[in-house]
Amino acid sequence: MPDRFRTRIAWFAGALGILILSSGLMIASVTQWRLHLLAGLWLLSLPARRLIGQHGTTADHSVRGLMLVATLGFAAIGLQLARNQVTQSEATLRAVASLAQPVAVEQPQPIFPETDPAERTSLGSARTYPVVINVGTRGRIVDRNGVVLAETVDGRRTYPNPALGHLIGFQSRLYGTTGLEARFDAQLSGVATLSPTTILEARLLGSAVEQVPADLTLTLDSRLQAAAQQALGERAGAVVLLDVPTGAILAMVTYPRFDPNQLVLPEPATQADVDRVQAAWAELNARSDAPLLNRATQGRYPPGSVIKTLTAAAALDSGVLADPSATVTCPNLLPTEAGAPPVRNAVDNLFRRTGDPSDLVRVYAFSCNTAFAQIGLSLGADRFLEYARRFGLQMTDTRAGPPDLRDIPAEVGTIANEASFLQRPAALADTAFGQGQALVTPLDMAQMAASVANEGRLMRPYLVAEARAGERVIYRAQPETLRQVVSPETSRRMLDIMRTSVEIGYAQPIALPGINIGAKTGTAETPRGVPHSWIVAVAPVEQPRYAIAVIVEYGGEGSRSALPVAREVLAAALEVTP
Amino acid sequence: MATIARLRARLGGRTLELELLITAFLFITICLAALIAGAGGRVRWVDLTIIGAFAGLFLTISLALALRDWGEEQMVLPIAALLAGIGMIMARRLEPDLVQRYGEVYGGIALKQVIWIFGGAVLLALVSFVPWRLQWLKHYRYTWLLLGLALVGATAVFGVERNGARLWLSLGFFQLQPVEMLKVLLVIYLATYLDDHRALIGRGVYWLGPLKLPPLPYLAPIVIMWGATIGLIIVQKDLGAALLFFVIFLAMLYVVSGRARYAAAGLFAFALGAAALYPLFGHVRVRLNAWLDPWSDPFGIGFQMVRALHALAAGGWAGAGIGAGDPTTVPESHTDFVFVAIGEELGLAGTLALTACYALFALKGYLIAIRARDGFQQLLAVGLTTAIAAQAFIIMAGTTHLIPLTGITLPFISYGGSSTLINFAMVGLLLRISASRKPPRTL
Repeated sequence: MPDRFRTRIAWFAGALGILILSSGLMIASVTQWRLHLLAGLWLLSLPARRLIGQHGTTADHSVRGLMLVATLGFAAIGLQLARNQVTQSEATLRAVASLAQPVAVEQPQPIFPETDPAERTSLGSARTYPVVINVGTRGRIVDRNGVVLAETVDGRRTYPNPALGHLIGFQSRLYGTTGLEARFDAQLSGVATLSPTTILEARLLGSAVEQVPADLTLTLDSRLQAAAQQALGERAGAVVLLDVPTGAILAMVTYPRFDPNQLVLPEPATQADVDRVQAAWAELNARSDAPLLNRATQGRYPPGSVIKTLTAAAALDSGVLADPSATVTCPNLLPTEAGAPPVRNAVDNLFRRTGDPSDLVRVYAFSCNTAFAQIGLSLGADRFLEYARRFGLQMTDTRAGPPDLRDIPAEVGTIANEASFLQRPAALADTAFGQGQALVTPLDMAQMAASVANEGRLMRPYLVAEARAGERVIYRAQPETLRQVVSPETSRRMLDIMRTSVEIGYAQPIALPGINIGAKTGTAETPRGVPHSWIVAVAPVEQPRYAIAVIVEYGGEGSRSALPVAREVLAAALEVTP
Repeated sequence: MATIARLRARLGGRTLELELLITAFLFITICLAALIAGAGGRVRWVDLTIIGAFAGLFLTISLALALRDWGEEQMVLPIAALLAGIGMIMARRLEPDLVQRYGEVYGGIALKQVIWIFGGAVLLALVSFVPWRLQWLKHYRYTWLLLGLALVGATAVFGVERNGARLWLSLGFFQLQPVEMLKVLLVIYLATYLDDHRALIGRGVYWLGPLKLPPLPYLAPIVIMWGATIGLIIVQKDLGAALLFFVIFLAMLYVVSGRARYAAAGLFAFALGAAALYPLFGHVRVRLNAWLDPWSDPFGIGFQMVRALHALAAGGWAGAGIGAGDPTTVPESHTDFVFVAIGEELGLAGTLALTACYALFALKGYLIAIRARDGFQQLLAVGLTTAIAAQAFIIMAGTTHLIPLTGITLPFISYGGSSTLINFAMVGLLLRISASRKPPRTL
């Protein structure tokens, strides 16, 4: 019976359709989901059409067809809703929380100084709706050694270390919740410890709930944080210190900063308190030096010569240069294409220092632009781009994926505005030695150094180690390998090259007694004339534990401003006297 | 039990509608109670009066229908009442937030919406109880056509501009949205035209050289409708209405011809036309880009969609609870984006229930069409049902990021006078078509 056979196939197709639709609910990509939806609904329509049959007049049959279309159409909406509201809702909330301008902070929330201070609903960008809870029982935030960084005293949130506003954020009844306070609101408030049925019951009956607020333990080390803060001083810039094997953030400093305490209202608040907090907020927003911006994760700077680390690693890993001793020349001028100015070095006759012909180790140590321009050109745009992507840098015009860091707002570094830019030889040459359109964050550069030092593995950076509610651990960060950026062999060779840069090159002043350090300085040209000062470094070279990136805005040459900062922080981390 | 049985006998067994209406009122009352409790628990007389009048009006209509005993479809009216009730609650819930966030212009929308709903219910009653014949719609076909053209012309000349589109006609006390009127007139005119040319349209194909073409009486209206809707996009910048009109037309054409392929081809031609307009018109481009990737510009063109996705995600399974969310962060939360506001506060449970309501309405409407007594009434029922179902689909799918957003109202729920009145009149017409025992002189 061919007809019965066809019916059976139609039912089979329908089952397949349901399978495709339900699997699509879990897929993050919107385009793929839409394809799943189309395919699934079409497969589902096959058995439905057989059910409708062919009886009745043409018109009746057509109306039944319309009924089928309507049913499938509304089913599609139902599935889309299930995606929006359940399976992909976490991702949406996270994406909104990581938008550069926090949604909640942008619009001042209405003031209710007369509300019961014991009650609050979250106003933060996380936009969660916990049940009515007691603000007096919010969890603490402590560093890796138990030093308290945020706690609630007499119903008021206080931040003992006023320099961590960019990381911890604040919980303000006037300006919402930001930073870790927002991202881990469910854990800190204790809502995360409640079962869904308890929450539902509390919502429906308005009954009190017994939530257990969790304490957050950060990966930060207050001692290193203080060292970095002191080393940077009151210069605009940022310091990021990473734990190489795990990707944990040990210190993250940005300047200028703000004191989160001045944005928190006391409970109960008087009109004078409200006025004071509003004035502080207005002043922070009016300042031209953007004190609310976390430069370490959201500041996007031209990378300067530190990007030569990426170019060198790409050349070794792809085989364009067979090994670190491969011959590279360092001419004074390098013409790239007709009409474009030739690439030149920061100082003339650099080949006297690098030797002529030279090798990769020495052109890296003395930061020879013309040499890296040549290496970039031999790599070619496609290969260069591929390695930039592996290191986590993206293109401005194509959809930027989410930043690697998820705990606090971060920006994604970019290598060029569009892929076609790098197709021009002059642009590729410029980008390869640190000019062009690239804009990176200090965290990006710290990650670059860390992945080179970590046998080529790029780790996800993280700031929160665990959340503990009483005895129960309700959240624990697992070190996560994002991808293998370069081979372990390339990693070893790059460490050698970076070490030589300290032994004989421009990064020499970073040397600490008894420790082998690998480093690369950078001097990023700015429109203002005075360049930004950069450095990336890893230590100890034999068994890398720390990776650091420092930028000092308009700090001049890399070895002048950024290098001493990195040196002091590494000395504190390795416990040696500089 | 005995009392219920007696009542049932008295009402001629037409009690399903009453039972469903009472269920709907219970739901609306609970919503209102939650809203009042959340806002501090002060009960105001005006709320009680409104909910009482709302229930009284619809129950009276239902009782009168039962006593007249013409055998109307029983699920259409309760669904419309439930949806309108939810719309009433949402307007009341959103008004204070809208006023606080966007200013005094939004003051009084809750009360106005109540007036529109009551007006709509009265219009429905008029359509149902005033003696008239459905055939009149067919006889005065050119009147409808001229009225429609006059409306379009008047809007083009005397229209009021709002948000860069000229879509409103000011009648002093009330700003009429002619597109809503036009929707009904289009359905009526198309039903007469297609019913008259049924025989011609059903006939085979003719050949233009090697090309197989549908017959001219078939092709001509397609081309004219396509041109008219594309023109609507160009002149009035009203993408949503254009899409809706074209879908209504294709559905009715499909019922007359039985050829799904031509309908599909028509839809494809519309997409092609919109694609051709893409480089020419900023508003088409903005809508499409905001659909393709709202995250690329979350504070510009993607702003509304990102806010909507955020609100829906925040709603989750069960929602924040009515009155407990912050839905006015999404622009137009009381009109085009009311579905998202409901999604935030009632969660997936609420939005799925609403989707099911619209699906049920569509299925019931099409069943009315299948049981209609002649071809004209069948086409009319198909047109009316498609108008409401497709409109609901277009805006629900648009606000949930399923298809590109085109601004039209969510039938029965969105705030708005014209659409509320017209939608209830359409339900009245559907009810009249579904009356299986009406006396012959009222055909």
